[in-house]
Amino acid sequence: MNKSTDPEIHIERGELSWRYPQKLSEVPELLSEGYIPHGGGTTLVKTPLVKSKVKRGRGFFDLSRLKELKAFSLSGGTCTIGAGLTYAEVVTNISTFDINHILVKALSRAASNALRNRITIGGSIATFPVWSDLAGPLIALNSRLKLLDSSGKESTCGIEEYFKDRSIGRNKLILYAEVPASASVSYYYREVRTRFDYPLFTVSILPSGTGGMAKAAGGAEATGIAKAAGSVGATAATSGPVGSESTGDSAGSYIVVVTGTRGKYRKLQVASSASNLPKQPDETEKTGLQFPDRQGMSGEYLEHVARVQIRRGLEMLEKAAGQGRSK
Amino acid sequence: MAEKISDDFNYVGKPVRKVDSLSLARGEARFTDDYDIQNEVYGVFLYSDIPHGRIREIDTAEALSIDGVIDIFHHGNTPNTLYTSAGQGYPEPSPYDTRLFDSVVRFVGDRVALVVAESEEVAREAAGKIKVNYEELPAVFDYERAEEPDSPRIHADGEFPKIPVAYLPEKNIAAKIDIGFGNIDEGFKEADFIVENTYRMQYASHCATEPHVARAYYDDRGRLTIVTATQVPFHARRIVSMVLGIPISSIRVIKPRIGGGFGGKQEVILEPYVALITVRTGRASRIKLSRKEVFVSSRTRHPMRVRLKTGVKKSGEITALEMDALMNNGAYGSHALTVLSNAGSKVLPLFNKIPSIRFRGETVYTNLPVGGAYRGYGATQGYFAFNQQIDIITRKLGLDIIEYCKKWHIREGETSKIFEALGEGKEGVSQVIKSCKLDECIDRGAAEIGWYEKRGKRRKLDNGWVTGVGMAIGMQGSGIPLIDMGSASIKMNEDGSFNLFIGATDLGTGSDTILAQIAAEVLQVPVDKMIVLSSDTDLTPFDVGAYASSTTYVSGSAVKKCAEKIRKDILEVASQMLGEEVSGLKVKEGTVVSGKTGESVSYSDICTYSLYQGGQHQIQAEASSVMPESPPPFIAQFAEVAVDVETGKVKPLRFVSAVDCGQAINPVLAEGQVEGAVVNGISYALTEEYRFDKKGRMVNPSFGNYKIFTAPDIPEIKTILVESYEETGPFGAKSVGEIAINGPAPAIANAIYDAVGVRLFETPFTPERVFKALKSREE
Amino acid sequence: MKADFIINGRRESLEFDSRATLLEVLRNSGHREVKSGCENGECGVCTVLLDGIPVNSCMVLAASVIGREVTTIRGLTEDDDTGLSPVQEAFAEAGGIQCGFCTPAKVLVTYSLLSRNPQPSDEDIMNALDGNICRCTGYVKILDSVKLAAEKLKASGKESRKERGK
Repeated sequence: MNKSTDPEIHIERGELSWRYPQKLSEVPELLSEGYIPHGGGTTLVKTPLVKSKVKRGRGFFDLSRLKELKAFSLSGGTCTIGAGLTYAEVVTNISTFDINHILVKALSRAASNALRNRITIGGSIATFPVWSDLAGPLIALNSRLKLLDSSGKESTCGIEEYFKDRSIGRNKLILYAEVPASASVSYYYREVRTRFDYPLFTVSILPSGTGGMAKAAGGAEATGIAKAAGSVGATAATSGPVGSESTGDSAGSYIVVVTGTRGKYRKLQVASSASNLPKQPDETEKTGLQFPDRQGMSGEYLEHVARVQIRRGLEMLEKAAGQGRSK
Repeated sequence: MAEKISDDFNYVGKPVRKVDSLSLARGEARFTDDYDIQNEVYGVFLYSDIPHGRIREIDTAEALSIDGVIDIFHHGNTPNTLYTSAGQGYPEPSPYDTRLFDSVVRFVGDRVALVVAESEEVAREAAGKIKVNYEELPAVFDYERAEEPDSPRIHADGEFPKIPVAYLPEKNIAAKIDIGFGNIDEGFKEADFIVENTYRMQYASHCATEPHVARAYYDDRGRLTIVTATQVPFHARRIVSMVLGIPISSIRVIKPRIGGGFGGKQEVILEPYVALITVRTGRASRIKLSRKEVFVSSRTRHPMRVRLKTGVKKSGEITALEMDALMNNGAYGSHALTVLSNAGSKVLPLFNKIPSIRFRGETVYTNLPVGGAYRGYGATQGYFAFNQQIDIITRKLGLDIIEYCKKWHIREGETSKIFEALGEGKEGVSQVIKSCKLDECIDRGAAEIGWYEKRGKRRKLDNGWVTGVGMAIGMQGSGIPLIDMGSASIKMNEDGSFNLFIGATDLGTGSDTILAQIAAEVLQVPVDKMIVLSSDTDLTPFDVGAYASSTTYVSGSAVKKCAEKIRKDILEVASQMLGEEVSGLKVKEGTVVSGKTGESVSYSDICTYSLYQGGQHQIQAEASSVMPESPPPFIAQFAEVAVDVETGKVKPLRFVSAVDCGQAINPVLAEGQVEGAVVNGISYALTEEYRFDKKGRMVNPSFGNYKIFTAPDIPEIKTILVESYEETGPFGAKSVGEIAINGPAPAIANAIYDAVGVRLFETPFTPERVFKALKSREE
Repeated sequence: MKADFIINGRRESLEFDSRATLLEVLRNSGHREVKSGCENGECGVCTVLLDGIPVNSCMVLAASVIGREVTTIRGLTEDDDTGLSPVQEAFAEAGGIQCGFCTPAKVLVTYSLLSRNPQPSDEDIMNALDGNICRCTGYVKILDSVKLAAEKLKASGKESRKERGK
């Protein structure tokens, strides 16, 4: 019998082994032994390791007993979302104070009811499938992640860093994600064929200031979005780790994140109004809105729809802002 | 007893709860995969990963050496009898072009071998270890090019038609039709203008939630028992017997509860293989297809190209109509002739005043997945073309399509030469329409959708969405006349209950319930006094099975006839008991009542008397029905859609169906048939499609990639059952199972045109396709 | 491996492969009321309640839910009871059952929805059922069934309150 932390569970030799840590302090050792974290399992269940029942070896450690990962808190304008929380739990938690938060918009329609009850924030970030309904909003929100490594050391990184450099997350456990608590002035669009579909792309739009978090994870310095290069009408694209300049509040400009593009996602800063978004395909290079063909739809078409939806989102936000100002 | 109008019915026309609803709601009802069968082995197929090739060698040595592998079947060690997997009446109109395993593989997903093992996992692992050496052959994927001389021939190994029909494998033609009447050339000459268009519909999967599954075992008397998710248990028995050379008397086929069929289980796909395993190994066996296998290797809706040419006078009169259909059957010719035939036979009689009609059609082989029966059965493809053509004609003439359709459709007391000219594999049967409430369907449907307030108004919604409305009308049939046969037997029990045995196959439709309602109406007992047992070839009499919209009309007629015999017997026994002439007696609420004295005797007493006291016999009867005609149900369907002019996205807002199905035996179940078909039709029109790579491999064989609607996707749906009575049907009933799937695609296409002025000639109306149409109009 | 689960309120000690899904474990241990339609989390037919909330049992590794409460359709009625719960009653009455293969899943989703949201809007119902494919009904009578179930539960709630009041 393998060692099990739970005396009620018996695992035969040669089986895929399972560990059930009760405390976070047990995790580093499991990581160093090569165990794979299991959150909701919705991705892992499709892996060859599980699918091929005749293959033997390796194992998972289940995160469901780790209370820390189920924590949700709100303080100083920042939401801390435990990595073990499911999409449904995140929606429920955030809805208690902001029903229009971009994460509520995005996650309440993601996948299906049953899957929203299983997909965890941590698992979703760690695998970052192109169809994720979580990634776009997190990037737009400039979320910070707290990670735990196999030596027991905790570290912090920005969501984009994590996505761009997969070595950052290797052999680490995501503990939580931090996002701004206020993100109700937002637009979210998912390109799907039917409701229960994995998006071909997503569009998340937030006013620029939203992503600059007052207090970042682990006391680290907040990083905002690189400011657009000054001139009106220009759009700046970032694709890697963002610059260090904190923008605070740059009134009248928006952060637009499109996932599902070539290279997975693009983040644009669009100054002031919808009319500034380039409409001509020849500007594609500059704004980086290129899509691969997906599900029978051409990349050109997807790009066209993305541009339409970005424009509509910006118009909507502008209109809302206009109404807000006139009040 | 004379037929009565529906208000007088006690059990027919009532929303009786389904007889199996209690057990289904409790999760107790057993489906094929739910039986406990001991000591079972599992069969897993190895499929071809090339589209066309000849097998040089199959090396099973490594696979056989795996612990738990019992045997591996392939073309080298199994019977090579030619047959058709189409579950049709004998002799089948589909070509005999299929073998259990063939030395030639004809599409990616064709069967190469069957691994039998102690567990499914081991069988799957072993299937991966079989080495197949192919001589690859050229393949053809474009069905519009299948007949070209340089396209490879797909069947050239002695395949043959079982009945004398045009079968030309040397041209890749699996079936061919050419019928007509009048003078088509003259007709076109007389016309003021010609409208000619080509329409195309795509592959689709039935998507029954229960994947195909079959099991076999020897019972304690050594008989081969097959438990299977089938729509056609008697055809399955016959085909297994023929393919494996086992006498019919040694085979029992049982259909338990089945998780949807829609035509996909009118196909004898798995039964011969589980039988083969059990015969060869002596062990119980099971094969269950994965969802991917269902998509790729079971059956599909046949893609079809329909070219319609109509000659039209300024008055609106259609002087001639030519329909030219080309159907893709994929690698095997299942339902090749009959689905093709239905594209004409279910569509062309609708406008029966057209003096000259020609219908030509060909079904071709390609190296793609296999077509088969699918709800609508060719009529779906035919009506897609027809209803758009009528929309185009009336728009050209500036006529109101509502009034136009009402003017030209077939009416009560009328006939169409098509009925006689076009049957299923042979000539059809002439018939005069006895019930047609299509005018009322059109009017009530139009009122419900708000036709005149919405048509042509192009209401603008937020963000560039524009609305439009469209209509489609149609008819289907009620079984195949003089071919489909259903039968029933009933016996009475001494508590006044009855065992109702029917060969008919309830695939979720509720046929067990409506057949019980028909018997209950004749016998005037509550439906719960009918103990229904259906679809067990050892216990129930023959029925062709659940297809061709036949069950209510054909099997229902058999049940009614049978129940009438029982009623006669009951009255005779009661006559003895009451000492009164039969003519003075009638049945009422489970009793026989004397008209003179008002004295009554209960069914329970009557049966007890007949079993133990006077004139001792079991009150029992059997009856069969073959119907000399196939009265069509009629339907008018209306779609309201919104189109995003910037992106081409189409959102169905409302969908109305007004249907004349004769007397609905059970209105809730009849509505359920319409609603299910409507949503399947909408989903097919908008999102469902098979996508293939260059090697003919389906690239989206999962519900994640092949999208069908779930609850949030549906529009507001309204179903109107128009009052109607078909005198030849049981208690006035016609069919309702298929008809409603035909209207959504053309109604939506017509609504899109109404909204944005572009015509979609090909399904599905994916956003990009609509967008391209919008763009090409701009240019 | 071997471990306990609480299935329909009863502790069951089950032996299963460490790679097995909850669906496989349930069906192999005789819970045939849990159906299987795609084994890929895409049809919803295998839905069960895990601590009261719907999950696709084909997407849950059994080893990850040891000791937790699993409710199948059989858990909605008492063992010796031959009747139906109000939700099941509603599905049978409103025409929400055709082939019945997806019924256990839809009934469980409805039960879970109504237990947290007794008066759901149409939108709430659609969201709850967004992952449950049905090819038979076109969903119209499924939605009717959920609404009828809400009414029935409301009525039975009043009944039981009355009972308690006595």
